[in-house]
Amino acid sequence: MALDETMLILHSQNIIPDTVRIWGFKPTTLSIGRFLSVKDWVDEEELKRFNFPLIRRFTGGGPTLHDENGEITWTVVLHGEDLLSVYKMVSEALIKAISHFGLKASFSPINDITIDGKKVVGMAGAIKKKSILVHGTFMYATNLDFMKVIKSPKVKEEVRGEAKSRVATISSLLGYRVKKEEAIQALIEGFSSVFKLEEGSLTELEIELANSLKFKYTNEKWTYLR
Amino acid sequence: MICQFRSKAGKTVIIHIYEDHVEVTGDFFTTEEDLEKIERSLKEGKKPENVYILGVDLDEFYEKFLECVKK
Repeated sequence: MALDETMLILHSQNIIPDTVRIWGFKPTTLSIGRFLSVKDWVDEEELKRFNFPLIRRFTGGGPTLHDENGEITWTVVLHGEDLLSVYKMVSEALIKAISHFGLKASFSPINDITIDGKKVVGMAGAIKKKSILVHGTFMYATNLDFMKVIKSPKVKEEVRGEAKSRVATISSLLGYRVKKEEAIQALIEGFSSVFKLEEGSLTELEIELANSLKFKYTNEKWTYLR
Repeated sequence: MICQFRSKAGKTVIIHIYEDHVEVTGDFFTTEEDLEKIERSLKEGKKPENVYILGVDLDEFYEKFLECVKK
């Protein structure tokens, strides 16, 4: 998360180019959107039972479960001013990645990608100056029982049901377990279909700034800000 | 006082009204600065203006806030 925030800061200063990053959480972690309150969106008893860390993102949006064995996290940072149009653009890449498995997904504004009404990809974003960072989940085999750690406010649950019932994974839709390597390959193909990619590595500046931001994401004052 | 509502765009907003301030939380997209402006406007009983928030229309936001105050 510190590295994602670093990317947005450096991109907004024109220090790094438009970037796509594919990464993952270890251990399995629950992230919450910047403007959520922990007490309204997190079942802290379940979180303790599963022993998952909780972190607050610098991006808006809802709570997201990052299963280290069933979810790939991806990030895109580029120039722009309209978050919705970037969600739309990035969703094209993810829909293409999902089509690798013979599944037809669609963009569900504002920030979801769904198959038959179930979310398989969730996106979240933030804007800094003229830069936009969007990151999200690619749930290829997330253990949906872990969704118990997410609590939905009454007004959401009345309309959408509990968290577990709102999502699906590529594996659950196919009826067999997709391998992580295949999911990563599909993501690379998907992003390559929309963005002109060339392989790169982290710069020293990115590493240094990310290291200095790490404290924020392990600090309870930030996690429990709201 | 706490009020919750689902925006037309499908975002969940929770408004906490305290004696001396208003706190807004939810799964919308904005910036820390704009959220502060929204909270300040609501505290003063005014409709928030000139702020970026994706997922909640400002007219809708203000209407729901007024409904909450009436309760």
